[in-house]
Amino acid sequence: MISRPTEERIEHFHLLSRDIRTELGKVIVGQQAVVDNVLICLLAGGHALLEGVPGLGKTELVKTLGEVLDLRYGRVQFTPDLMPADITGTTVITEDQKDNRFFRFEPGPIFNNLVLADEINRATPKTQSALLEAMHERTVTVGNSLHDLPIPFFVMATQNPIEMEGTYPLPEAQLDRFFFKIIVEYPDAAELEEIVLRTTTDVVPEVRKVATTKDILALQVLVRQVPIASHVLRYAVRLVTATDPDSPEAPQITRNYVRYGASPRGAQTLVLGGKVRALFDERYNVSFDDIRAVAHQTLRHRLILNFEAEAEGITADTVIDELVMTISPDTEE
Amino acid sequence: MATVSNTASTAEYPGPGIASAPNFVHQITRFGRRLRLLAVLLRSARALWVAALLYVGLSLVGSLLAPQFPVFAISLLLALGVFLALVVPTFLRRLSTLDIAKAYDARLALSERLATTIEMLGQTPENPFRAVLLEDAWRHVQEIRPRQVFPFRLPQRDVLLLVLGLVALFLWEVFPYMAGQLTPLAPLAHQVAAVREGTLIERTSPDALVAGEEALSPADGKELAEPEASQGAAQPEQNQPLLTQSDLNEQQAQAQQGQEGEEGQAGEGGEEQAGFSDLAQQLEAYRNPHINEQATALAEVGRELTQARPSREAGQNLERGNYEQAAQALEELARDVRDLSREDRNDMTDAFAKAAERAQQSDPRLAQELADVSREVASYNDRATERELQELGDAIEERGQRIRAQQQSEQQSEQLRAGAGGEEAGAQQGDAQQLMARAQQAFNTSGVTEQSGPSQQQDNWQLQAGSGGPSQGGGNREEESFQPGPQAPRLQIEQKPSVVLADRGIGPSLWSPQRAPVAIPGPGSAPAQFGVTDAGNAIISTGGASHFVPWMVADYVQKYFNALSNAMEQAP
Repeated sequence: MISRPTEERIEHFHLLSRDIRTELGKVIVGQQAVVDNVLICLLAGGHALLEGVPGLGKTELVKTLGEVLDLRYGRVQFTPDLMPADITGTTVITEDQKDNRFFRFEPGPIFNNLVLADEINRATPKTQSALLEAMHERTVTVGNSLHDLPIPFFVMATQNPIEMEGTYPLPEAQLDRFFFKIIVEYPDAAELEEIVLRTTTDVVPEVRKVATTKDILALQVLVRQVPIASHVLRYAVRLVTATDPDSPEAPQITRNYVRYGASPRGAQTLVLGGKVRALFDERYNVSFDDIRAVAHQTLRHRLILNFEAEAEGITADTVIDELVMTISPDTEE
Repeated sequence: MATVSNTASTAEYPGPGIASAPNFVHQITRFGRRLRLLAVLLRSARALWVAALLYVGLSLVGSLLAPQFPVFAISLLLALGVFLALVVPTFLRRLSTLDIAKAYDARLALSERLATTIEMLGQTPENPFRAVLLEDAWRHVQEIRPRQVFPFRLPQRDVLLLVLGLVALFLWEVFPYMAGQLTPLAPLAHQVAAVREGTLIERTSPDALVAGEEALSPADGKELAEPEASQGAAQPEQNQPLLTQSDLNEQQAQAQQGQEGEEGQAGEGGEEQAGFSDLAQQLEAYRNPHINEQATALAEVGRELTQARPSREAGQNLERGNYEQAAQALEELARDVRDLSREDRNDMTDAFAKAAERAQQSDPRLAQELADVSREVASYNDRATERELQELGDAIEERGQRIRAQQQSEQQSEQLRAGAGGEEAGAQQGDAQQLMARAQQAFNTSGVTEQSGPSQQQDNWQLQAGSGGPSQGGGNREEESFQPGPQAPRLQIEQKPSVVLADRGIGPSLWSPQRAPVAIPGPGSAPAQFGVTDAGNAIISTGGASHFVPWMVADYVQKYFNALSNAMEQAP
């Protein structure tokens, strides 16, 4: 695949992404931004955290994506009594035909290409940690054995911003493992009408598989080859640096309301997300607009706001809006 | 602005071989020229304002603090220097191709295509996207029209400022003159015209000159008429009142020829005597008949000045005829004027006023100077008093030089007449040459000052005859120094070589000093000397007065055109 001419690979990328969108559109009504962001995470090799109230189609989106991509799909419904072994798998005693007993590792649902961690904040921190460690290391240790997770490995977690009773919010350090935090908004009236229309008839939409594991891996390689100019890269770094309240470049809003800024992983995510977006936009280089377009979903879960921000109702998105307006690109005019 | 598609499609690739890295870089570099020029234009608009404000500020401050200097010229030079210092670095600054690409990316919203391509062209190992990115960027570059992307257009704010500046310039330079004179150049034009016309008269109309002098000075006319009449028929060309060095050499040569002729032929001694006589008559012609009146007036002025304690020393020196010392005493008084008591000031006011009355008849200009001093002393304006006293000292010194030169001239004339009458037969060649040399020396000495004489009537006649130019008013030293005349072959610019303060009222605007400096290229050493002819041929300019510039251009054209036309007329 790598040896194919770049033009062909880019054309392949456009065809695949268009087909994926088309198939997802058969099931998911609207939510184009959410779909695009999920695809960006997938093609950049990151994990996505979807946040939204129940009934907006988060789970349906991930499930459909698994069907479209011809990836092995697994789902874990996070509950307070969920144990780590329920995710990673466990060692069980097995007998063979000769009545010989031996231990055998029974892989959990995490051993899939596409894992849906539904309502991740309902599990205990111990269980969450098991998943989050696997997300980062892409390996699972059970007993003394180290088990590699399949490639590609893509976790899509959902969480509900309401019903906070009996939930365990994800720690900031673990939130950083997610490539994007995607907010799933309410559909508008026209979209809602379409949703109702589709789901209240006896017609069940059928989706076809348009991409294989091999395709996804090839696209992930292609994404990383998209060039980025030094001044665009600098802009991404400046955006991330500006979230650090101790940085001399930090604007006033950061100094006032941010306790901890984004990690270097945030800058990596900005650039990678920008690369995928550039290809989506049928361009071959990352622009300032690409960086700005992925700034919110990249940084919103990486900013830790202070008490003053909470008291004054300042959200991470407010801070990011201000940063995008304040930090100007380095251009010669 | 050019509209450039913001998307690229692999299906629209024109194919390999069209876009190449050198072509792309060359094209970007070409775009940079326009950016550079635009940067210079924008910087110039800003620098112009800085320079204009600097010019106005320096001119105002300079006019108040040092009006005797060519403030406007200096301010203009400084402003020009600042302007160039701001603009030239921008012009010299070379933009890198990356900077150019960034600028076009930003202006055309090209999503950083050009800059990324420029960077990637220099990268090793080669990026797999190199070819497609170059194709894409090249396609966009082909659609770019730099003239439309970066038009030479000033920002609205700068345009508004320029319009306001032009209005202000109009009000400053032209408006003050709209009500009164037709042109702000009129006074200076008259002054210069007078100089030139005076030169013209002395070249072309000696008879009218003599007639004029006779009409104005009947008492001296008889004295002048005799030699003039004897010269007029025989050697009209020698009637030229402008007796220059070459004229004298010619006279000397004629005298020598006479000497040589005497050796060869008997009876040619008469011609030699005639030569001496002619020279004596020439010197006589330069005698100012009113000089004795001025000497008397100065003595009377001195008498009045002795009535006040502070000016007593100056007055006594004037009475004794020590004009330089009197001028020096006045300058010392000018320095000490701040220490004068009220009583001294009252005495000085009265003394100078009476002195002005005394001099009114014989030397109105000196009377004006004295009256000025009296007025300023009475008004307790020490700075103005100081200036007026210095000017009075200069005027007195100048008159003293004239008187002394006249006396020397008279002595030489007497010697020449004596040589013509008493040594007619045995005059030796060396004696004749010695006499001629002394006559020449006397002439040169007198030539340093106004040989035309300080007669107010003569001055008036000259100016009126020349151009109907400036009125007799003014009465300042500069005007006197600047006045030409048929009998003033040489002028002296005292104290300030190459700078002459012209007549009153020539200030280029309300904000400029009343005495605008008129720069005349001179020899560069004090005291500067130049003849009326020189003045006529010199380019007379006022430093920094912008509305004089067109006039200066016309002046150049006129002078050189006239010189050319004259040469053509005289050509066989």
